[in-house]
Amino acid sequence: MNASLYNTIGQWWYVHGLPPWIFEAAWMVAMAALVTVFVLLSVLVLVWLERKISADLQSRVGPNRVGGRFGPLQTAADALKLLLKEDIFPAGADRVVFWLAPFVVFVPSLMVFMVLPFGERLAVNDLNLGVLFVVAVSAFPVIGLIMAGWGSNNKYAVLGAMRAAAQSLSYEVPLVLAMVCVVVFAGSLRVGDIVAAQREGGWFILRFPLQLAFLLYFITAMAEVNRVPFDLPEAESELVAGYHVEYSGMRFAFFFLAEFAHLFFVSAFCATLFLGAWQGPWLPPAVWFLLKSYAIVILIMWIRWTVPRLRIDQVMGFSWKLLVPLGLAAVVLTGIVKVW
Amino acid sequence: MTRTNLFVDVVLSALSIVKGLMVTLTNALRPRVTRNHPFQKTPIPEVWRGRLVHLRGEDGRLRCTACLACQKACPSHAIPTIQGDDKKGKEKRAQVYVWDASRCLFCGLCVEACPFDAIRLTREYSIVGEDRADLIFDLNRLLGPAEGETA
Amino acid sequence: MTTGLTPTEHITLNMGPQHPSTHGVLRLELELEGEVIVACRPIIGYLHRGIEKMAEARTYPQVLPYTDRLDYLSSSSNNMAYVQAVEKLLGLEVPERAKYLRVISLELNRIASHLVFLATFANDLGATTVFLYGMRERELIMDLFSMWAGARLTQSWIRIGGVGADIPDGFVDQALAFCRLMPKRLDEYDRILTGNRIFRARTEGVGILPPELGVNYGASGPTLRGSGVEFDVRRAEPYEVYGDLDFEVVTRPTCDCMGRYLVRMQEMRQSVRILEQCLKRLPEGEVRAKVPRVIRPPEGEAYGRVESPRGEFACYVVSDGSPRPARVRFRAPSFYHLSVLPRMLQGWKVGDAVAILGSIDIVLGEVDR
Repeated sequence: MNASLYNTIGQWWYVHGLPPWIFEAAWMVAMAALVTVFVLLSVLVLVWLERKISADLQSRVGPNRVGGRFGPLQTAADALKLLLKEDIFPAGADRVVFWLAPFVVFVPSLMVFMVLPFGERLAVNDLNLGVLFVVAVSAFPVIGLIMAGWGSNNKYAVLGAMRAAAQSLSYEVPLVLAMVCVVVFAGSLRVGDIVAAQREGGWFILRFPLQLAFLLYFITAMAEVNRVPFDLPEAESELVAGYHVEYSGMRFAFFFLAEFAHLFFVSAFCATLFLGAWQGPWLPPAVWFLLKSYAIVILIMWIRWTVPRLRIDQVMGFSWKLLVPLGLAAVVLTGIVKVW
Repeated sequence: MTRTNLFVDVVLSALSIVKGLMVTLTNALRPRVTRNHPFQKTPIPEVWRGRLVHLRGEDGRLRCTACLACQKACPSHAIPTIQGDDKKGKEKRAQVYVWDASRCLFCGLCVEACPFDAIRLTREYSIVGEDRADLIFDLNRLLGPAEGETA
Repeated sequence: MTTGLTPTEHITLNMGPQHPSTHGVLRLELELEGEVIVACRPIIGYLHRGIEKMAEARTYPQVLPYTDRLDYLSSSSNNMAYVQAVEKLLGLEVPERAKYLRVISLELNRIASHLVFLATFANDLGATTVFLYGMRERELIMDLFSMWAGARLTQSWIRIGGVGADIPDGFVDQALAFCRLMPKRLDEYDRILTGNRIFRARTEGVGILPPELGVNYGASGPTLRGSGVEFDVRRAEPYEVYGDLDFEVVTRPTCDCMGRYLVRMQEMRQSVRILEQCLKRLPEGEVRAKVPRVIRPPEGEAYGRVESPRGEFACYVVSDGSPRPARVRFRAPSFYHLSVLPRMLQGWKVGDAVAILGSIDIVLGEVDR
């Protein structure tokens, strides 16, 4: 639908002899706006969902005032509050780095949404190196975290940033290995092809030996989005708030947005790689896609509100001593099964 | 750690986490224990040690005779001033009585010390004011509600 | 790690007084090498209110409400230590029913306090949900206290000569219902937390307190019993009716955070046992001995010691024959645990610091007094 719309309008544009670069630029702006709006709305829903789920698991009620009985507008009200707050630069902060950090974190977590397939040919841009693009771009925010930690001139923030860097680097490896399994199986780096491969032979999670890859992806994804048991970079009871301890108002909101956007992305990408993306009977493809993504989101939240947090050396050990060897084994196994 | 131990450890770890997930799930299915506070008040027991009130006798007059027993019993000088009239009637009655809620420990020693059952701590727990002066109660603000007249 | 070529600097990290895991207003000056703690210096006094000095200007009954504010999570045991010392001075005999009611109050407070320990300890380790569970069950105890004493935390209901008032109708049934519920909930905590692999990884072998070191530093209570030393004032020098009651002194030989945690979890079960016995055996009768309106103990001194949820809480009272004590001094167990903390923290990481600090379960109210 997306691509056909592009073609229809584009043809009309060319037929009337208008300069093509205006159309290209306008199309890009429109798509960026679409993604931004979608991400913002998703984050509103996700934050509300997180609060409701945590409340349910903890015998509480959760938000129940703003906008009706179940408090659906609570997040919007909170966002408004953050917008109206004073913008504080801590004394001694590296102002440029401090100012830049939230954007460096936020923009990549928006960019990765480009490749998500909401339906057949319903992605902003189905790059032929889609998976590689995701790996590359989603590794980027950690630079922003280090900038935030360093720029804040706060020891807790520096400790948080160091943890974030260490953790992100170690978990990227098993994450990529898990994705490699899928890529080997599908035989393509293009997200559209991976989905198509699942249409023919069933969802990848049902196919031996990709269950192992799924587990690896799921665990590392939790680490990538800094959720308990891997929430060490922010570890409230240890580092107060970690790298964003000095941020307030809108700048803090950007970190918050990025975190939840990333959470939604890893879940949606999990659904894409292993659960057949938008495929499913009766319901429209986009609905199926959202359903699967939210199922993963809820699972991550459920775990987050149940288990305690690991220690930094245990987190690193878990990755390098268990997940990386497991990932390598999974890749070899996948290769053998594929060649067979 | 041998290979088999590692494998067993991983499986048991996963099981222990699943166990925890089941606990949170069962708790999610239980009724909620929190209350929707300003709309849904928590029942406060009768013996609650809250705001101080002065009780009145059946004739509508204060029971307090300004005997200063409560003042002497108070550990934190929350009852700084008590003055009675000069026995114009049959008995002496309190004319001035100050209770400083910001100093009060709500220990109830004053109520125990009172020989006339003239004061009582009530179920009112929300004692708020916009400045310190609002927390200093004089006799007008200490009069008990009508139903609390007879002890 | 310091190598010969690149000299590294230590970071001095001020943990607290505003920090979510310092359990009040404690400041820990941590010297870090990366994440590893090289040295720790606890700085106390942020909550100093001069309660010992204030007591010298108050009459004997007036001191009592102030003792609530020491260890505010278990005010009964503070009351008990003070009242015990004053009663020793007076040579007062307390009615049997009052003794049972005191034990009920003490044990309810012990469970409440250990639940707060469980809640905050879990929260420090990142298991936020258990925090809410602990607080939820504690609320049942708070309900019991508020229907009996009219206050939740600062009850001052153990009074000189007995208790403040008899228990209301329905108290026994509600307390027994709680005793029936509590073991089930404890099993639940075991399932979600004690058995959890991550929790075990965070607590087992962490923050070793060797028994000799603990004894030398004056540690007591669950912190010492977690190191395998069987010392409990309730057993060593029974007060009230503890001598007649059937309960176990729980110890663990592991000396680590897990040991201290398990001791407290087991103690809650033992407290439920004690509660059940007391509620069933509760004799009829008065709840308060005759006490003169103005208490003037004869000249002398007395020492009251109780097993508070944190350890041996004691109170030393000197009387000069006037209605006001000449000197009141409190032995707060948390203070001794805090002094041994730097020895326990050395070599562990920042993440362990909160676990170890949580496992000794301090209350700054009694440390700073």
